[in-house]
Amino acid sequence: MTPRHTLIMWTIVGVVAMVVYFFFDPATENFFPGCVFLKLTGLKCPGCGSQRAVHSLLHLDFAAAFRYNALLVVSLPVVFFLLVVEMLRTRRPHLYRRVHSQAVIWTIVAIVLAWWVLRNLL
Amino acid sequence: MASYYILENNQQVGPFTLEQLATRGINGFTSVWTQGMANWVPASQVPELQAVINRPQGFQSPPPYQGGGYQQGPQTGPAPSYGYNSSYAQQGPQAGPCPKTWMVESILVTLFCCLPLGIAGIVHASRVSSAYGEGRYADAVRASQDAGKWTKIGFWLGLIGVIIYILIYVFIFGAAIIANS
Repeated sequence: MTPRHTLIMWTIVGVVAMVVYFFFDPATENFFPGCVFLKLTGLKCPGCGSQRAVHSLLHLDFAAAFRYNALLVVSLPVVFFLLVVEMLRTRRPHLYRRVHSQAVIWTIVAIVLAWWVLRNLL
Repeated sequence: MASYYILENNQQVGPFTLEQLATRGINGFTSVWTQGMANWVPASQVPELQAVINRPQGFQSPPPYQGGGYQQGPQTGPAPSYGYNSSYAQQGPQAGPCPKTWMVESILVTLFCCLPLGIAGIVHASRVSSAYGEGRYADAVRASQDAGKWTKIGFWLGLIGVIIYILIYVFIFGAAIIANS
């Protein structure tokens, strides 16, 4: 698969997923898969609530999305930026280097771990 | 249009288009890299480059000296070394653009696949970054493959979980319909 094919495939997957999550609410419909980690341990993982948060975001209910998974809402603009940098990896190698520095990567790890712990304590 | 980086005297130069490579004059032993490749490879192994290899345009670098005398001919000399990765990793500080760190993909797996494997992927991304920063290009490539492996395991486990869940749901739903009819 060429990068172009990969991009087309993920765009289709993304659009289909957005249609499904727009018309069906994971908070009330029970055919959406739940989190395995939550079922096994009773603790929330960093991604718990993402499906409900996406549904809320698609209905422009940012407050509800933030309550379901604050990390998801906060990281979406960051993820968008990172994807752009990823596509420019060979054309702008220095930008890629600067964004994928040790400081950035470990900050992300720290935020995810802190979010994982805090959401189970709060 | 694909663009290629090549190694000249162990220095990375580029990117070049196919036309630029043709006028530059590369041979089958020239190390090349383009997007999608994990490692540098000899130009002779890249199908798209066959048309531009050994074109008598512009200055053409001589083929690598392989030892042996004229009377033996190039074919009977020792085979040219293809140990490009290790040798260039030691000689050049940066033998190409930084390999994929898989950081974005790992973050997405962390957020959507409900699996802590994404975090393992992010941690591996730091190994790619540090190896590349220290000029250990071959190590960076290897770390990149590791990072990709963890991220893909997380992704596929998540997807398999979803598929199993949907199958169970369809099975129960179907059984309920049959029981009611």
